[in-house]
Amino acid sequence: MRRKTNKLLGKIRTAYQYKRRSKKWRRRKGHRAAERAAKSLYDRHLREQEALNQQISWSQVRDQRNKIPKDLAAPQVFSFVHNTDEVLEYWEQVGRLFEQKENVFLNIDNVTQLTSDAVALMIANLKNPEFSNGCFFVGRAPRDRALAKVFTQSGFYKYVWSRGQFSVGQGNILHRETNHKVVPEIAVSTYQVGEKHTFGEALHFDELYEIMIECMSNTHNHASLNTKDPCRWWIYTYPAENNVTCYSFFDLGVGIFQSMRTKDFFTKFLRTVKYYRNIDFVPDLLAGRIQSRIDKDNEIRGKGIPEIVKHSKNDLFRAFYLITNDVKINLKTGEPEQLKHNFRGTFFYWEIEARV
Amino acid sequence: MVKISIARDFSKNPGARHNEDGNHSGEAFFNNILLPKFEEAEKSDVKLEVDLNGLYGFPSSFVSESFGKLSILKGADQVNARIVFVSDENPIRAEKAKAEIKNPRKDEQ
Repeated sequence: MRRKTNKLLGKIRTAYQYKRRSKKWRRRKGHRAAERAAKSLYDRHLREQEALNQQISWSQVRDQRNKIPKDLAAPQVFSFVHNTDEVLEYWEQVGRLFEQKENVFLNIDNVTQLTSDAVALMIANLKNPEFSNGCFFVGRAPRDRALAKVFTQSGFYKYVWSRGQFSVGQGNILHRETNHKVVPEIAVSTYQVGEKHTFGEALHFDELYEIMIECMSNTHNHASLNTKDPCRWWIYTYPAENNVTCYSFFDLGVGIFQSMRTKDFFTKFLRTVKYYRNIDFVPDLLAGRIQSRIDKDNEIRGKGIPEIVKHSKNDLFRAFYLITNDVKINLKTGEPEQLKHNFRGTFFYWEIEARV
Repeated sequence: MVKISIARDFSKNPGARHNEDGNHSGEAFFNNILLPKFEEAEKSDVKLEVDLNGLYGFPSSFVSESFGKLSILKGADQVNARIVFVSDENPIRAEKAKAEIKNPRKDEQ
């Protein structure tokens, strides 16, 4: 009897060992491991959301999560730099829904154009707890294969919970600085991406490095009106086609014009009554004549923006834009553009290309 | 001659203005390297050679907080007479530092 049982157990063990070697078994187990990892990531995401909304209970978070998200289609040209007003309007609509405690389905299925700057702005907005207001969002990559590749390889999925596993494309650096500081190491990493992708060789392109340091410094010192809570910044480096490298550097602070200190009472009054618009201060901004809110070393400060403006004229920069509050400035030409919608923050975008 | 190589003695990737801004700031460079070396050169009455090669860039806030501050402290003529810049990779770096020494304050530029 015992022999028979052992024989049977042996058979079962052999069959089990055989199954363990099969592809199907491995795939299933692999899926389960991935599911467990995804679940733990999702739980962490929920815990983070919960920590952000400590004033509301777990049941409220659960109720919020169970709400059916409202579908909101993104503009077909989903590019912050080339279609600024429509993209800003879209984010205003998303923000309003979040304020109303609605979950949102960020529908970018049918976009016909998607640029790296829009992807970076999207993740920054969604990771901003003030903006998402404890609500949930869902979405997926665009239907267009080329655009889906731009989206999935950007590193966007590093910052959100997702069922799918997406690897970051080579040269894509999407970084959120949480220590709110100037980080020369990140400037070097992103510099090297551009150097390798665009020029293919080491060269002394000081302007590119210096622009990044000045952008970081500008954000660290001026992005938030509350000095105890300087806002964080984002940088996204995207190696595009034809050896062009695109850089987006931005913060979601208050914007340059909002943080600007008006020198005399009369100008201040005219700004308050909207006689002076932000766009009227563009020449002062580009020339570094706008007074810093930082009192320390004020006499020697104010060289950052003029340096960025000066460097933007370099031929190796194919495009260079600054978007802040309700103004978009093409730094290559110096032309400002009045926007219909307000952008709370400062967004620098530039592209580099090799000139033969 | 007293010598400084920013890339070797300090960092290849200079940062922003103040220490609280982040790593490799102009303030750190000024306090730890530039000012002591400048005073050493003054004391020995020799030139101070500042090598600007090997850097990724030379941000204006870094230059302002280091060479600009030195110029305000010691006087532009004194500094210009004492410092010799070496910048074979990119001569603009040396020009930038010289311009900063000449006009360290914002209003003068």
